Amino acid sequence: MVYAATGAASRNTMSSKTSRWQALRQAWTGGGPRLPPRPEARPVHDLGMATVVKDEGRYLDEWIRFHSALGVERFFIYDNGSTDDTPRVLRPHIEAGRVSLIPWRHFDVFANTQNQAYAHAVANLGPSCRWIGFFDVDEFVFPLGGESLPEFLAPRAHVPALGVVGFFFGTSGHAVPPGGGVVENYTSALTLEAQKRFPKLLNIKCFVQPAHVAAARSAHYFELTGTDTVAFSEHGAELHHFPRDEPERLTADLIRYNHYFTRSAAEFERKRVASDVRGARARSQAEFRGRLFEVIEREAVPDATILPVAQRLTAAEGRGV
Amino acid sequence: MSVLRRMGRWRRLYYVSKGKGPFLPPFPASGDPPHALGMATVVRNEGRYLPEWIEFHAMLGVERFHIYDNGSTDNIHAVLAPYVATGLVEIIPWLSFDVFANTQTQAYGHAIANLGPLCRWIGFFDVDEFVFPTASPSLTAFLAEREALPAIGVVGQFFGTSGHQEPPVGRVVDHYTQGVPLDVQKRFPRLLNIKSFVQPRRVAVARSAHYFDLVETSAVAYSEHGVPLAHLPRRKPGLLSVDLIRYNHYFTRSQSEFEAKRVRRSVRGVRFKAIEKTRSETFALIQENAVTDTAISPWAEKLSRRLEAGLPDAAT
Repeated sequence: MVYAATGAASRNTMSSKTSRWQALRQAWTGGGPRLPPRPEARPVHDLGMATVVKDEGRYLDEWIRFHSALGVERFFIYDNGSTDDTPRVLRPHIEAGRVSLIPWRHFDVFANTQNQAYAHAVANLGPSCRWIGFFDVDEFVFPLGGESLPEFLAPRAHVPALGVVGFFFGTSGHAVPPGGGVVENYTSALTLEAQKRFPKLLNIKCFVQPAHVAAARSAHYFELTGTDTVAFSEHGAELHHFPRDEPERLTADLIRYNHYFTRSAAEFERKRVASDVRGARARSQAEFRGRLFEVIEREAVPDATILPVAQRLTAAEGRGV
Repeated sequence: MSVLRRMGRWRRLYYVSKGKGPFLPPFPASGDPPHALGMATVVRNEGRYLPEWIEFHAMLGVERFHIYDNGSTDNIHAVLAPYVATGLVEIIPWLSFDVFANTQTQAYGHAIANLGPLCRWIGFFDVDEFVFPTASPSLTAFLAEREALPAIGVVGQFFGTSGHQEPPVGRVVDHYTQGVPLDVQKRFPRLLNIKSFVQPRRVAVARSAHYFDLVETSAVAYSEHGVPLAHLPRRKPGLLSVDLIRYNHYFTRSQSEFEAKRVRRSVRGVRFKAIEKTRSETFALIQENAVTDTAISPWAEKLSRRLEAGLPDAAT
């Protein structure tokens, strides 16, 4: 097998989920599609979001409303073969012009479907948005100082990509899905210190300025034009592949995301062994996820940071703001 | 994926490194698709011509269209809004996002995987290509007789400017009536092209705009008479005929439009001088050899009657 031997591509970006053919393609391309040069953009929106979903009909509405209220104007939702009521749930948002639902079943054996979707978003949503956030439907991102997301990003116009640190939330005692949304029901999470003790739980997700993206590389960050840096922290520190190798640069003083990774115990068990956008679940990957679950459940403590933000947003929605 | 396994290791590497593909994953097991026939196409600023193209093929039995929008600036969403509202058409933004991929074949691979579960057959024709049967009541009837075949290659006939310097008011199928006969095209093989209807489950690789690598055979398509066609079909012109089905390729449209197209970039990317020259040579051949061709007239008349009667857009 021929592997590219230069620079970042020489680092092993394979996860145990990667098939042999995907590994070859990823090694060749560095993880995901390399974007072609794009014409000068005239963005009409400050902030868009792109995400890949499969059978998240139950959770999509809360996620869209939360981030809409925080200033996200456009959503590209890539549907990786949902068979639930996702289209019905999204119809009001599509008619309002907020959401574009793009079918995105796996269509290339050599490609990582998620990285492909992210590259597609940079090329297709990019021209109309100054920033794009790449967060999953179980990830809720919010600034801690009460401002909206565009207000948080505006002073960072010189930053090509902002890496936001995430907090893993556990089951908070729920064995089966409770009524209501995730924000109100799941309230125990790991602390940043605990995550630094278990580095696999130290992750970032990015807001990027599309014009600065050279290639899609993973769900967590992109290759940026003209630099080895993959993102900048909230304080402006340079982050490199892997950000968890420089844990002192990862802070969550100004902005963070809550990662409702487990939801209820029953849902987690189903997810642990199911396929995801990257393909069928390898047994080693299922075991690894099981170990993550144990750590999260053991170490999670009450975390109500998001609640004032959610309450403020719900009140604003109620007032019709 | 037998076609991939049949290739050697190095040929697979070559295919991947050249960006050929997409290499389609095995189809998930599913029930009978709800629709018999869908169509997928990549467009850029074809707003003027899209409604006619959609109506024509919907009349012939196409029930779903995937329109891949490669950066249209002529308000495609407004033009197609009525069709999108009925669920006949889905517009998918498709600006190039992979410098190593062929944007068009990538869209075709996406269509196989995403429109495939909904349709027993998918046709891959451009907006200037109108496909019609000459001895069947509809495209669905023509294809239903050929369920055993994984892909049908339809032979095309190039149509010229038919004397139009500027775009005429009215339909393409009514106003461009001069096409190159098949026996003349066989004397100039560069004018011999096929486009395919495929059964999505039986396709392995979206290799070009014209045909696909198939799972069960090294043939790239089957002719209207069921004869296997190999890459490149134009090398065996004796196997190509237009007795039962054909497409009219309104390649030039009016003179002024052709001038603009000749120097324009295409979905494949940057326009090279060599391609510009080829287009000009093709144009000259068409203009010299086109004669009156009215094979499409019965369908054109039916389309007129259908639109005057205000029939619903979605095919029944």
